[in-house]
Amino acid sequence: MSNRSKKAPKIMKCENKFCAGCGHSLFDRILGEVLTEMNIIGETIVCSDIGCNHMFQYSMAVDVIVPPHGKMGAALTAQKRVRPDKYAITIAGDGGAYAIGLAETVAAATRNENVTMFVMNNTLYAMTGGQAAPTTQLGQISASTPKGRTEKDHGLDFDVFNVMRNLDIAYLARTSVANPSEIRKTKNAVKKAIEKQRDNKGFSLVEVLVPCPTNWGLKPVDAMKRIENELMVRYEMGEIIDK
Amino acid sequence: METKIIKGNEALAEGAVRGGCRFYAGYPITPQSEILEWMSWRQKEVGGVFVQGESEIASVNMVFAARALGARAMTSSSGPGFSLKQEGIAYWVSAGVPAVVACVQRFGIGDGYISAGQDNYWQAVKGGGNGDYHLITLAPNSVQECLDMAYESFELAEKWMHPVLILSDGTIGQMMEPCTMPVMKEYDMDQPWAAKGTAIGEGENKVITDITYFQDIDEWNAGYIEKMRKIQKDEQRWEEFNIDDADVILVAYGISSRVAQRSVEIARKKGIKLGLIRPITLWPYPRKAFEKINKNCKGIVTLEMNMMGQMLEDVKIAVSCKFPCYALATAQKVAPTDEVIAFCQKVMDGKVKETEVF
Ligand SMILES: Cc1ncc(C[n+]2csc(CCOP(=O)(O)OP(=O)(O)O)c2C)c(N)n1
Ligand code: SF4
Repeated sequence: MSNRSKKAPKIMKCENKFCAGCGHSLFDRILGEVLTEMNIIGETIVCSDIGCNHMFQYSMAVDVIVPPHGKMGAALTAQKRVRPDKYAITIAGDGGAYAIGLAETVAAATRNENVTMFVMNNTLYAMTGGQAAPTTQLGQISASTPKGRTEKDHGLDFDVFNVMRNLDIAYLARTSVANPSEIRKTKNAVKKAIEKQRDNKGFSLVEVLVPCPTNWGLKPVDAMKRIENELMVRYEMGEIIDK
Repeated sequence: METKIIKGNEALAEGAVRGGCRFYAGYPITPQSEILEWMSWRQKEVGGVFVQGESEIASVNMVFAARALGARAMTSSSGPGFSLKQEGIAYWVSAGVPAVVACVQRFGIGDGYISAGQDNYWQAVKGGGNGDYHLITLAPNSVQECLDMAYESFELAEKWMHPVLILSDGTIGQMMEPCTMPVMKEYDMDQPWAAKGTAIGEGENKVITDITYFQDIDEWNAGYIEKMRKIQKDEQRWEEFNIDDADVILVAYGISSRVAQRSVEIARKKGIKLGLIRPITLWPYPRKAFEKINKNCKGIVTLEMNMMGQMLEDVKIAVSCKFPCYALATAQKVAPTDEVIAFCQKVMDGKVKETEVF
């Protein structure tokens, strides 16, 4: 039987520190492959968020800056303006990008800054112990919605497509890491988003549905099933802006 | 060198530009908006970047990123806007990002007033954000100093890899004086510490963040506190007038120091022996200046545009409470010279109760 597993690219310099079955690690590997294949590691500066997602710093050999939690929209703007020849990319949490940093995320998009945001939607704040985020689903139990999210008490959940659909930006897509076909789509979207920046087309955002088995209280396999059976049904998937 | 008559705020902006500032982000607020407005056209002229951020929070973090990538970068604000920048500034400190911020103080709590004040002293020199830090804080008292301090600020910040704050006030910022323009400094943003991308095999990639993530925390702490001690020792700056034989010594910075100096001149003509210590750095506080005070001095008086006499505690620490200390704190206006002299006379005569420290 041939071993069909691919060797990790050199940018993945050591084992990661995520929990088993964490979606962040899958995304990082995808991004690492794309940066390697496009041969742009030396031209890339990743703006980190603060959250579980930021643990890419430990395992990826790429230049990183770390502004405060959520402020990536602002930091990326400055990165691209002072070094237009470098790629300005962020790996963001959904809490970071859509709650505490929503103003900065949307402002960067409305200016159509030539930057790229990858937002990891795991439907909660993972690092701080699984509290509700803007993306927490109605009915979902979290550490701060112990009886489940309700419209009355917590408001409706957030969908970035509704906010950005009519903006003049280069690329907007949603994918997941729930199965091999989705992983392929994610890789394709990651590449396309970075190509938009390369071609000076403007702002791109890819939201990736990722599992957090630890805070969801699910086994890794069941966490992937939740994405397929619940989240990918609830959300509009795929590319909705591609200029 | 050319001389121009300009506003303090404009001088501060131009000083930064000539000092190599090639990235500015800010948000409008009175009485500092001239800095932002000057930068909006001037950065374009010199090939730099101007961004009007969507808030002070966005602006301070834009500066973090621009500076982390090597560009000499600054922001500026006042009052509530300066409050919003504090989280971001703490990140500059912990990551050792040598950026510059200017605060042109206005008076009041919360939104306060748009007129001049000196009541951001505590916030400016006692930290502002979370954690153990002070910013290297320069206090200009003329339009020329606004320019000179901004011109020098990046080198000072880079010398210590620590942010610099220029603490101006609404009067210094708005008034016009002749100002000599120094030559434009050249700066290479490809500094060894800057993030500019590291290809595989090119050496270790850079991570610009709280160093404590990647280093033993005790080791990091030790290096950091040693740096802060050294700054405290090496960077104290002040100006002094007639302190050797003074019966009462005034202590004032910024616009108040202009009135204090005039008060000393007038009083001396009348045979009243006043002296003045003008802190130029507010952190590190120029404690060394206070070592020279003669033991017969009857009191030390701070002159401040706030209600609580915010600087008084630093004076008391500087003299180990060995002299009676008073604050002539006159809220949103600077006391006129005759009022200052009359107050000092009463101190000499032992007719004023020592001012409490809040
Ligand atoms: C200003 C500020 N508020 C709160 C925190 C605490 N905090 C750290 S990570 C985090 C949540 C991260 O959640 P998310 O952005 O969804 O990322 P995830 O952990 O799920 O990857 C919070 C609230 C912080 N670091 N800074
Ligand atoms: S808590 Fe969740 S998001 Fe964080 S590392 Fe573990 S699985 Fe990943």
